[in-house]
Amino acid sequence: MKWFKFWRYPGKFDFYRSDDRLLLIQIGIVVGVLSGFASVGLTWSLSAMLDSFAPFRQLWWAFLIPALGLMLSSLFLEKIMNEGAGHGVTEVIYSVSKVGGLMRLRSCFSRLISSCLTIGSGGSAGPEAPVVMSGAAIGSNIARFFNLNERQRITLVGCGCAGAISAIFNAPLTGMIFSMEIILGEWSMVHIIPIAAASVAGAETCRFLEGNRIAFESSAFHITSYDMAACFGLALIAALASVMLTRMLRKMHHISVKIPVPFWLRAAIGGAIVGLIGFAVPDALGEGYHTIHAMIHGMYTAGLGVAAVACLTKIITTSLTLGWGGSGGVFAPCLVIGSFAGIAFQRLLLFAFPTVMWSGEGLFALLGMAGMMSGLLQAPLTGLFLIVEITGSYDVMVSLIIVSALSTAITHYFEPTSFYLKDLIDNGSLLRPGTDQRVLSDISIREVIETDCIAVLPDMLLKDFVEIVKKSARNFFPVEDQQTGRFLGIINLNKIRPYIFNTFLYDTVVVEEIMDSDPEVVFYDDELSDVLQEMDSKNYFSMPVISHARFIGMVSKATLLDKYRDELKAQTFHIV
Amino acid sequence: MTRLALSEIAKRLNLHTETFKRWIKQGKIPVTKSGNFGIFNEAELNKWAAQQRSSFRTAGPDEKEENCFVSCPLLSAVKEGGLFKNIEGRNKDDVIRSSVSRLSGIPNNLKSEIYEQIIKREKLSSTGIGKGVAVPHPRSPLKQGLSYPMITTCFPDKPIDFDSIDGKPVFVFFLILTPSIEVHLNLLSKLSFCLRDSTFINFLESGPGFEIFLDRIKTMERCME
Repeated sequence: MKWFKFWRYPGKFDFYRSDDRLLLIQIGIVVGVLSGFASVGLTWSLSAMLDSFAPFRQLWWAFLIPALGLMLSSLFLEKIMNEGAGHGVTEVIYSVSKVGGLMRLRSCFSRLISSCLTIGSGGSAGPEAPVVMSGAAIGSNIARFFNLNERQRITLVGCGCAGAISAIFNAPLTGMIFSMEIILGEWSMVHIIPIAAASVAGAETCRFLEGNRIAFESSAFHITSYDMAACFGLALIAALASVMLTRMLRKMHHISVKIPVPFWLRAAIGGAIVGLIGFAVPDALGEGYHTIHAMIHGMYTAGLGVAAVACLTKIITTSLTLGWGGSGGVFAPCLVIGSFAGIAFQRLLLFAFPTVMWSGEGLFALLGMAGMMSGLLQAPLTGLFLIVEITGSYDVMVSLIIVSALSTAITHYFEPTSFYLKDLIDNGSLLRPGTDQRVLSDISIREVIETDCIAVLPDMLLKDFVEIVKKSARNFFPVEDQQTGRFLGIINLNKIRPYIFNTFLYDTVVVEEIMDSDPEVVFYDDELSDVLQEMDSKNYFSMPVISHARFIGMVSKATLLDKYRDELKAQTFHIV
Repeated sequence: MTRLALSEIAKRLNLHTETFKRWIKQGKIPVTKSGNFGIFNEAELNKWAAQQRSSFRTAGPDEKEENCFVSCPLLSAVKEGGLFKNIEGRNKDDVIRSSVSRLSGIPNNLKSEIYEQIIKREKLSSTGIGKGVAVPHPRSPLKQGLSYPMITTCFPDKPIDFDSIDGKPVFVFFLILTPSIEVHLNLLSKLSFCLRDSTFINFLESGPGFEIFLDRIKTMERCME
């Protein structure tokens, strides 16, 4: 029986103790394969659902299909799974930065089902974020099963995300980079290797089940210097589109929460509007991968106006779907919007400079996608590598770099935080490794408290107090009530220094008269970052800590610096 | 593999127990937890500790030697220093030189340095504290060559002018040599407590023997506590 339990504690095996990388690689491969299965499962069920609804698309009541899908999806998430709506990536980042990568077991499949309902019925959203959440939950729960510590669990969450992205796009490099750039926010050796292993495992699983296909294979482009110049304009267009999508998503959410109807009805209304828009612009429905195919291969025939309208419509349907209660990610819609923007820009160029030989609309669609992705996610590398891998065109690398970098920079000007991180930053729960907030949030007051202060009674004479001063190593003396032990005030030696050498006062002054009876205090359960902020704003070097009206100890900046350094070193130990 | 109580490892690493437990949970330290015990590889933890600021002490916390230097510092310092009578010399410098030369257990080259240091301090201001007593000492504590603090009691053969604050010639002086400021202050304050007592001054004027002198110091030091 003991042996039976023992294998669930691989962290304690002598073999893995000195270096757990091998353990993480092995478990990471398992996580990668499982997230690969999750992503292939979602892709298959999505295409099955889209196929089965295809015959009804032309009927007049077809707009009710997305309504029903969104309603079921939101009901499923809220009532059955007890999870809020949303794309899932934010939840994963939250769990990594706040709770050491802990995720619920049900998250392994909850988003898969809800996003399948949303997207399969025609809602405009992407399957990637749900798969990422599912992969992350798989990694986290496997780590919990094997009783791994937080650092190892976070690595496995990263492995799950990498496996999921690499499986759904058949893009192992993107999986790795996505995981490091967006989910974990740190590039450390100890993470890279297991994540790379998981990424490859995810991609191989997908290739084994679906064959090695490149999602949007494109023909080679002949890129001229005119095209290069056009990149700058395209980056601007893509950046504007991503700013528009970010703001629209937020606005739609604000509008939807103000409507006084139950959440499922709200989702249904959103779905119905999406369905109605779909009559006019069918490209704006679903994940939209077939549209991207057409655009990259130069088979998209519509002109400037239609492409621009389609781009705007897709932004609206996506924000309606996600903002009103649907479930899914922004990856796929982002690609669609980006390629529409690219096509529209190319049509504009054709109109403006009819004599120039442009390289073909496929290139612009592709660059538009990269610009859009990098702008929205504030992650230029993810956007860049995703496009290179899913289109298989390495010859467009230079133009991709220009568009990705520029678009990230321009979007950053308008929207300084990425779409995924906005909410987390707003409520202060984004804690990237090695940052000030991270270090402070890890240390608790109980770890830095100094308890060697000597308490004095309020009716003590100054003469007796001086004797106490002789014995103490501290400058602060809490005054406590004799009967109840309640904290009454504090004596700061620095403030009374001029008087304690005056022997005439020794028998006439009592402690109560020299104490600060209303000092600024902090409480035992306060966050250290708040305490420090308080100290900084008031220019204090130490403050008394109170719990239930009793004095516990002092917290001082000097001790804090000591602990802070320890913590920072321990935290960044594995990064080098 | 070593197995120790968590609080014990934390103590050896000089860490707060809460911090230590959290680090194990977060995987920041190469120790695994098993109930209330931590399991670790000694060499590996040493390596980790060396890369951190703190060092891992393999032995248990070194108990402070329980000796008389802690319990009764004045008596042991006076005992260590010894008592000399009939120190010759016509002036301050002479008596100091000859008393320094009588010090036991100190190498000769250090003696000349001690002498210079004491003279330097005397030039700054006299250590004659009145009532015919002086407490000459070097300007800064001796960094080496001295393992225990010592107070040497010296009686010149005739009272010497020491530029004391009350102008009285000095009939006894205590040469104070200590390895650190803390000890110096502690000894000086204890000695001055004794010297405040006029019966003790009278006792000194009677020119007591070493044994009787030590007995008196012993009782006085006990009084202070």
